[in-house]
Amino acid sequence: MSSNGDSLNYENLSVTSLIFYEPGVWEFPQRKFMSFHLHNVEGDLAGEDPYGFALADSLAKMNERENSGSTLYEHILPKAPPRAAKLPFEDLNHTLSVNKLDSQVDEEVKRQPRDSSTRRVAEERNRKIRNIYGEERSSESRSDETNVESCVTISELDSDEKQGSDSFGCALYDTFIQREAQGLSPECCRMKEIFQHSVINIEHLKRLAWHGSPMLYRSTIWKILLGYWPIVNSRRSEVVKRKREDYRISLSRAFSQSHKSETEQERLIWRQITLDVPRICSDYNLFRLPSLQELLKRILFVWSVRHPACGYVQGMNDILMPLVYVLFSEVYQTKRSYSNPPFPMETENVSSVSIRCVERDEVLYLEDIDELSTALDDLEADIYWCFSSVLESIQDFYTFAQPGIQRRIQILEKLVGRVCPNLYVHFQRQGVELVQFAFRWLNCLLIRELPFPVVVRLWDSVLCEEDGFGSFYVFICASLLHFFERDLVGMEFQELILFLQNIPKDVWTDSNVKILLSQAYLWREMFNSLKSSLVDRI
Amino acid sequence: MARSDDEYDYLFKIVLIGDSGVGKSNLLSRFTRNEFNLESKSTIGVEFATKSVQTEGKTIKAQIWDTAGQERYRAITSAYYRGAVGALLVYDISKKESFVGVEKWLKELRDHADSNIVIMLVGNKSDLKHLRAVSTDEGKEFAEKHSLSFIETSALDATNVEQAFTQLLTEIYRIVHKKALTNEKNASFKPALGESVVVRDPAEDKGAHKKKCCS
Repeated sequence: MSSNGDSLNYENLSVTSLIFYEPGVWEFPQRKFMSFHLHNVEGDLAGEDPYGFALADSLAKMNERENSGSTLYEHILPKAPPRAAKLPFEDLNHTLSVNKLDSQVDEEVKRQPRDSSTRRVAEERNRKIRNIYGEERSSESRSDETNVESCVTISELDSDEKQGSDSFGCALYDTFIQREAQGLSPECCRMKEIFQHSVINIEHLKRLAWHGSPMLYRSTIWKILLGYWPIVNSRRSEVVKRKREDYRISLSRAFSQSHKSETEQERLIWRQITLDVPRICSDYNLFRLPSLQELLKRILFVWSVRHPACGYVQGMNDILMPLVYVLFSEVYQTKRSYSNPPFPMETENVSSVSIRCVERDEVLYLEDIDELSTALDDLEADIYWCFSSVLESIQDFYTFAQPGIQRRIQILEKLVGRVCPNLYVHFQRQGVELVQFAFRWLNCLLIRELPFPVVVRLWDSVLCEEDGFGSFYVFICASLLHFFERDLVGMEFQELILFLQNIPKDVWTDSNVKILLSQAYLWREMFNSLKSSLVDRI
Repeated sequence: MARSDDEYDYLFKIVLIGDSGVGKSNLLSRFTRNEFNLESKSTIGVEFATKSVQTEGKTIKAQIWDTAGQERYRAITSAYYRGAVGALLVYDISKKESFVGVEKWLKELRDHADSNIVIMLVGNKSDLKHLRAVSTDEGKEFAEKHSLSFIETSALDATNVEQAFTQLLTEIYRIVHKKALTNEKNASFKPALGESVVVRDPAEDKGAHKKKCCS
């Protein structure tokens, strides 16, 4: 590596500096930096290092070794924000590498630049990383075993304690313990540990959940991240009880005879909702069940009545789907028979980072929800509050003329101009405007664009982000465009629009979803936040 | 998208408008892909499709923008009226309300679209005979009053769908053709292969569409 230090240094410099520089400084006077950065990100994402951490490490090593020319780096490296160092970086980076390494290293080598010296360096880098990860992988599997062991002991200790504690966590808790007998992944164990504290460490929770919530805990995690469940365990039952009561009152008000015929606007809303809910187009049985559709109508109507500035806007029904699924799966799980797991439980799958888990979840194929009827009222209230929380930050998406979406599209356009300049130019040449496709992307939070299990997985991460729906989603949209950039630049207007309005759904493996998310994350870190950088520039 | 789609004499931009749930998207999918879906999703914003038809010896490519019917999307969808040379204004023959709404849609077009846009009134769902709430004569009468073309269709059983689009496109073609002939005497305006044409002001439209129709 040191033999060709110069060329590597230069590339490293661009990547790390772009990541770690303060917001606002990222815009380099020389376009060159940007293109180097893009080159690197592209290569690294496809390969083993989505965040450029290997590069950053090697940079640090070189920094130690070489004193000459190190002044620049000294400015750069200490500036790494502490948050970035803690957040998903290393774990995600690592998982991605392990997943991708075997199949992609060879391809990666083939795609290396022709210049022999550079290739030599790259090959050496690959070999080293392979060694490192090879070792780590075996050590990880060892540590997994110990983790599981320790968790079983924890659960044994706690099984007495939990009976006295909050009533809402109990049922779930039982499930966890039953499932544990079937083997629990380290992620589950770590997650469970978080819930054992009387006050949930939300930052810790976010760090773990960003990588995908374990299926068993997803409902709990989402409710906490959405702010529906308080992080103080002892307050939970009280708060939830109050909120459920609140919803019940709103519901009876909205549907009381005197109220329902009150305003023209509400009449129109109800008509539109009854028109749209049966049109929720899904392959899954759950969303076609008449009793579920009634539940959806009520939730949508109550929300619209309580938020007259937004009212009901088509597409809100789509946004309910992930919430309905996740909250239903919790209730359903407590009823499942554990002697016959619904689908083969592969140990690695219990962590449910895998989108396949959602795909095969039998909740989605329920024939009848009446067997759950005792819990349905409460469930409806829970879904309502989670839905309300999702829409809270993006209400301006749905007010008159939908200014929130328009503004996000402007930001997206600027973002694409910076991070995918070729695509941006191509769009301009072809007369494609982002609003032509990105409007629906944002209006329905990509639920129409991506397979349902992928959306659920996406939300795991989005919910961990500050203003996830209002700003992180814009980065995801950019990342989605970047993901297909190579295809898109070869298309003409008509083909482009048709493609972008019907994105292929069969490409979304776990690792591709990770690439999508990590790219969005990377850019988010780069631009820090919409408020501080991009928005000001509009 | 068949390859043959790439060759055409004219490219016309068409919009599909009308109240929510009248079957705009199904008319479009029936026309472009011969598909019908009883539970098709609601349209969000504007969705795009394209198809070429043969009429009077010319290949005409229709670039069709299917708009959302809900009031809230009006701000977004009306932006697509600009540059459209034709509009299919759809109502549901089994829903009186959607027919009443036609007036409102005409106003939308007057406010946002080119004044010479060719409009066809379409009474959809003609298969729902037992539920008919708007008679054919009512539709015809309204169309005549506002000098629109009129047709009743059923996306479900495919009745008149192809005809509705072809008739509209032919009508536009004739106007454009006539216009081109008159223009030829004065200047030498002649639509090149694949060039988009607007009825009223070809020069202005040429700029707006150039990017989209060089394929």
